[in-house]
Order: sequence, then structure tokens, then C-alpha cells
Amino acid sequence: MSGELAIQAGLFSALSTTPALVAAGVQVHDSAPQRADGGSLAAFPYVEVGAVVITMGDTFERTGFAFLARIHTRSRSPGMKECKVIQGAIYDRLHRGGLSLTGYRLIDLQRQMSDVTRVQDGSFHGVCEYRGLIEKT
Amino acid sequence: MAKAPGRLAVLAKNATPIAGITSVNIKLDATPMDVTDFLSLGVQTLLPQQAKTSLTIECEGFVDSPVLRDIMLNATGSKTLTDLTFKFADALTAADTVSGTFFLSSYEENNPLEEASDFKATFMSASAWTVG
Repeated sequence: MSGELAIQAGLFSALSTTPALVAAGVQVHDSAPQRADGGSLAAFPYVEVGAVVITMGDTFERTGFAFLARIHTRSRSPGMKECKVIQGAIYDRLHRGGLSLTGYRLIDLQRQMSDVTRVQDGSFHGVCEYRGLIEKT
Repeated sequence: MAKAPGRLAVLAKNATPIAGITSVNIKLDATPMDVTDFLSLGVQTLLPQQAKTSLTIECEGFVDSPVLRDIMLNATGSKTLTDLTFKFADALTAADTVSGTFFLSSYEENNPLEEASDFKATFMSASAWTVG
């Protein structure tokens, strides 16, 4: 399995089973399904985990990656609170937490930033960036 | 001689590559015998024989094994390693491998908040080394 896919699968699995997110009915997507007009077909609120940027993290005898996973949160609640509660639950699960990765071992995972902005249609869009290091097992 | 990627160099202890290395360099020094005197009229004069030659190997990378740290933490223990081998990245012939007795003269670990722990180590030749 490629590094980027292993990371995405690990994030998807971790967030799909996070009790606070499950209890709040938050769906986790690779990339949320869209309508023909570009609107979302996914039920709100939801989270997208597909955006992963990786760079080389090799040593002489082993291959690995540093990665930046950008996790998007979408909410249609009247204020930013729902988005921030979801981001907090994601933080509690991922920041300095573990991931089950096929073919790789997680060395470290930490949140770098978190932000929420209002979208033109009135919904809220949260972005959190998590930086991690993995090596091939 | 063909160019070679640096990652093909191998620094091994007891035939096992030191884990986590991201860079290794080897430095050879020769100290001359300086016999410059008044008759040299201000021009440095060196004998053809060398006073001293030495070989230094420095490596750095991510901490993946406590072997070097343990050697250094043993304050009264020997820092001499008799089983160190360095193979050049372009090892095309047997002459591209250096082995011998080395003194672990420095070891440093760095623990940054957002990165993996890393290390640097320096080995100095402790006697004549073997090539090949």
C-alpha cells in the first residue's frame, strides 16, 4: 500500500470509530459526494480526510515519509460551535495519538493548526492540519 | 568512476548498519613535519614523511537504536570500537571499504518538539586502519 493511502486509511479508520464523532452522527469521507451543481450530497456535519501531502523521510536503510494531513470539517449549524466541537474531538483522537497503518509505523502525529471560516452559502468550513512521520515496516 | 547516491554508503558496527543514518562523512587528515627555519627564507618547508595521519567518521540521523548512546553513557567504559566498518557509496572494489579500531569521541542527541529524535556521532581512528 502506498504511504499516502495508508495514512488516509489510518485517518479514516481512526475518525470513523471516534466515539464523540459517532455519537454526533458525523460522517467521515475521503472526499464528500457532490451534486451536479457542485453542492454537497453528504449529510451535514461531515469530515473529509483525503487531502494528504507527503514528503520524503528516508534514512539510509529504511524508507519513510513526513506528511501533512488536511482534515476538513463541514457544518450547517447556525454558528461555528459545531465545527469547533468536531475539531476538538478530532484533536483529542489524533493529536499525539496512534494510527493503525498497513505496512507502516507511525512515529509521531501532532496538530499544527486549526481554523474555521464561513462559506458563501452560510455553512462553516473548518480546516485542521496534522503533521506526522511514518516509516515502512 | 561513476557517480553514486550517498545513501549507498554504509557505516556498520559488528557488520550491522548503524540504524537511522541520514548522512555519513569520512575525513582523512595528514599532519606534516614542519622544518621551516631561518634558512627557509620565510617559505614553509615540510618533510616528505607525515607526522600523523588520522581518519574521522561523522554520522547523523534519527535515533533508532541505543547502542551508541549506551557506550557514551557508560562514563568509565571504553569508547573504543574494534568492529566499525565504512563502505564508500561507490564501492566498486574491495578497496572501497575501511575498517579498524575507532574511538567514539562525541555523541549528541536532539529532541525537537515536532520531529523525530536525532543524533550525531563522531568516530576517530585509534590505530592504523585496514582498507579492503
